[in-house]
Amino acid sequence: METVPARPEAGADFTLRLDLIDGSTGRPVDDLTVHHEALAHVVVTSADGRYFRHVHPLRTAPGRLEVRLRADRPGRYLAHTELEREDSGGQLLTTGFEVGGEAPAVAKTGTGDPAGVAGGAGCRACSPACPSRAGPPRSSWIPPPGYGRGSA
Amino acid sequence: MTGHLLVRNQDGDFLGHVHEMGTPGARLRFTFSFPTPGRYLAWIQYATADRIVTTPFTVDVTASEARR
Repeated sequence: METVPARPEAGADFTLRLDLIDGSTGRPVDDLTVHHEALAHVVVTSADGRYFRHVHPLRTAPGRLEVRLRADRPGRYLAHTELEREDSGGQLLTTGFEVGGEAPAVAKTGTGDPAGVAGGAGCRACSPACPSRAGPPRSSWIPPPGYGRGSA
Repeated sequence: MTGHLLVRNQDGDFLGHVHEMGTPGARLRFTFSFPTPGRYLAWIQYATADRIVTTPFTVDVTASEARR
């Protein structure tokens, strides 16, 4: 997994990229199946849990999944990826990355903070957590082989 | 209304994910077994007509008497 740029800045968009390689063949993993209506589910959280995104990366090349994100604060982030290959069980990949830059100077408001703050005007505790706000660029999506065929 | 539950431990080396399988209604119920005692960060997500709602909370899991 990598981020583009390699060290994202707080408040700036970046790309989270997953290059999936089959450990036994060394070839790109290009046989992901759709489960729960997506090729892969990525949960990105800050170490303290205040930041939470559940996003669906898109296939931009064989074995490559990408999604655009933005983190509000610097620090350590975790990316948990759930995916499923053809005729295989589900897999969970755990990776992490660092976000640099400065924390925003604005006062804290209701956030996705599971450690206590559950308020937040307008969006009921989900202000930074709506996946639609971090949607990937749809135009760059390349359907995987067999996509739309329906899974058995 | 169906949703799912995501659970992470504080280190982040554990992530659990279960889907609600209940009948439609205003109550979400999940079945989940926590692997070890400790504090977990949890998020429930569900869809309404026009958006996805995320609700964060924490769960403190104690060791069961039988395993002490």
